[in-house]
Amino acid sequence: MKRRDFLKLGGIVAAASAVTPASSLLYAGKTTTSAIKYGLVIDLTKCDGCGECATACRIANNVATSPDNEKINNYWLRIARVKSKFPNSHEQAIPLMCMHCDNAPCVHVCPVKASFVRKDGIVMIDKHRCIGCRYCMIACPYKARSFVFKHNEGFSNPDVPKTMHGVVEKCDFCVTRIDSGRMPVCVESCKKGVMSFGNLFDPESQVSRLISSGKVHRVREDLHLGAKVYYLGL
Amino acid sequence: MKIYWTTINGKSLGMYFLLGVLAILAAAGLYATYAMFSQGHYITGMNNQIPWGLPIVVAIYCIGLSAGSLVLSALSAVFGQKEFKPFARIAVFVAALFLVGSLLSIVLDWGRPDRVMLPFLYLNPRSIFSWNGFLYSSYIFICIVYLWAMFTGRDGWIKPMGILAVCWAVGVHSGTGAIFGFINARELYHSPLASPTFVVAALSSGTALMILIIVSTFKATGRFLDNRLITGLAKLLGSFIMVVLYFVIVEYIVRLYTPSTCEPTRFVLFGGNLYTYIFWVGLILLGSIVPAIILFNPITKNSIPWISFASLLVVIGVFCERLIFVLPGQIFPLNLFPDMEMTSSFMDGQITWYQVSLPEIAQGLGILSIVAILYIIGLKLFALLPTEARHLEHEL
Amino acid sequence: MNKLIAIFVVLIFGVVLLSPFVVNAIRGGMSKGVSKLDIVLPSSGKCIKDKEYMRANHMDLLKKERVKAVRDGVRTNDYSLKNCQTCHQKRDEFCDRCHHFVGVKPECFECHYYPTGKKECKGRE
Repeated sequence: MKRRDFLKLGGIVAAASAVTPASSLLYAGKTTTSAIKYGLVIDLTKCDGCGECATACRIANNVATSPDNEKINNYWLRIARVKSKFPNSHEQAIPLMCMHCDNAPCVHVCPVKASFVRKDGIVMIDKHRCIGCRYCMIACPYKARSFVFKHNEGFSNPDVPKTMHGVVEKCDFCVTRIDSGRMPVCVESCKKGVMSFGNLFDPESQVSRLISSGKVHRVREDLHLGAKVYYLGL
Repeated sequence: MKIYWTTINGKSLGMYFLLGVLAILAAAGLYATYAMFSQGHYITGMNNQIPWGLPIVVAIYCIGLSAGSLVLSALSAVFGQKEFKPFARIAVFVAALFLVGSLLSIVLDWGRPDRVMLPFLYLNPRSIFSWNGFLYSSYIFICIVYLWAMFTGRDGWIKPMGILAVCWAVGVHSGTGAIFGFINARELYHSPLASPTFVVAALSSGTALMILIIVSTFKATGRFLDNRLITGLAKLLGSFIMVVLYFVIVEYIVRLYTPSTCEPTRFVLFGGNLYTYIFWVGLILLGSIVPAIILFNPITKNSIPWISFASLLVVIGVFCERLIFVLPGQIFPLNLFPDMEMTSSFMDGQITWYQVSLPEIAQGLGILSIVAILYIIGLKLFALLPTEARHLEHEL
Repeated sequence: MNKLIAIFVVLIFGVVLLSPFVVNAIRGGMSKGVSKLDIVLPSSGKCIKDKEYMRANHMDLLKKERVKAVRDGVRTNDYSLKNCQTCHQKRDEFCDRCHHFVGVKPECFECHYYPTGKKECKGRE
């Protein structure tokens, strides 16, 4: 083989390996697709604010907890109580979490692309990459994010990782559960069937049917963020 | 006029004493930073409602001081004010130093400063922080090239580098303002005026700081300083103060007028809390009106002690402006359900106070001390100071 | 005078440069005399790649896996920390000993659970 041909061949091999990275051949597992768009519908008419979802979430996701200092007690899911300013108004319990916006401000502001929207619409944090600048916490209009202020000790659920000191954490729709075909833990733990989770693109899914009833709203729709957590009876 | 540049002697007792005090402060700041990372950031005043505290205020303040001092150097190189040439080197040097200080403050504020290179590896073009990482680091580089051109007497380089540096300074400041101004979620941040306000506040605080630095350095090293140079800078400072005041007034009147921002603005301006005092006393009265009176009053406007005092007030006033910019936007709760009352165990719907903690103060002072130490070492190593600063007319 | 200053600065630089070794020596990292790498290997079974490859590249395999899992949701079991646990059941007998021996502190176990011989995972609340 002449030297010239050898170089040519090398170039072809290099180009081919650039087109199909070796890693893509190694993995046989299924990847996320944009044919699925996960969403959550919360039926507030059924919710009495018992807080079981919040407790289950805290345990299932190893959320950083500090019972002695509530200022740095982190929440992935919290129950807010909302009422109008007039007397004798009904107090509505509203579970709040990350709204998984399509145009997520946290993703826009992240300087390292640690926050990202997965193809199926879940907003996630790559905690291996997060530098802890907390710009996303400034940008999030829902206060969905918490900073881990000190070393997070112990696992309440060894199946999923916890978050290290100096990194931001938030609800990820229990992504490891979703990838293994299960429901988010808040949906599963609710005994009243307040929450339903599913594919928004699937017309047969319960979330699509609830949304098509036309009675759903999202929090701060005026911001045009494309949130994917819907509330029935907000 | 020929200017002779020299280093300082730097062997007096006072100098060593000053360096010692600064070194202790810097060590305390570093220890405070170490404590934050070893014990946890819960020892700071920050919490999940207020994720940005004093370190960010110090960082953006340092950036402001940086650009303002750079403009002083550009006065002679770009705008043709030849009489300010004696300050050209020192101004650029201080500009670079304060940028180093601000970068230190930002990076040490991160939860994971060990990942400092990641913003350069994974640039996110939609993130203002990504832009700023690029702007800040290139700004230091431009300052160094500018200094190099001045030191090696490459006169052909000085004007282009000066123009570039001024443009870059405006970019750096607009970028810093945009960190806050682009945030749609928070009513007290979201404003197109944020960037211009940052630029003018930077000019005002930077000029004031340069007056203080020049007067004190020339006095401490026994160099002759022509009063007319300082009064010239003071005139400039007076006009900068008025522009800052105008921007602040416009900003707050618009916010008061708009129903969605009326409540948080009233909380800041008339709430009777700490921030009300910071705004009215710190920013408006002591930071703007009193210095303006001093700088425009015919009796005091030519007196160096009075000008120095006014500059000190402006430096403090602009710090108050930064505080009032960064903190109330987080202290006032996010408005998830407009016109409704909201409570939760996660501090929703309630005002959460930021209690500044000792480690944060120590860290901020430590970073400023590091800047000061670097400044003194720079004076010792490089010929930054002229032997004397005379007004041009002395020559004629 | 300038020479003296230069020597002084170089000395300080040298001290700072050597400080990790000094600290380790004082703390006893060297005096313990870890001369033999006494990791506990599983009695049977074969690793997914040969020993030399794993020794040099296990972190790259894990990193590749983690990027795929986090970014694309590909959660195969091939090169994951969980899969390691099927054979190397105790972290302190395998991972930690070698990492201690070579003096690296990986961040994996700050977040990821890997059973150790001593303390078990504890529930909270």
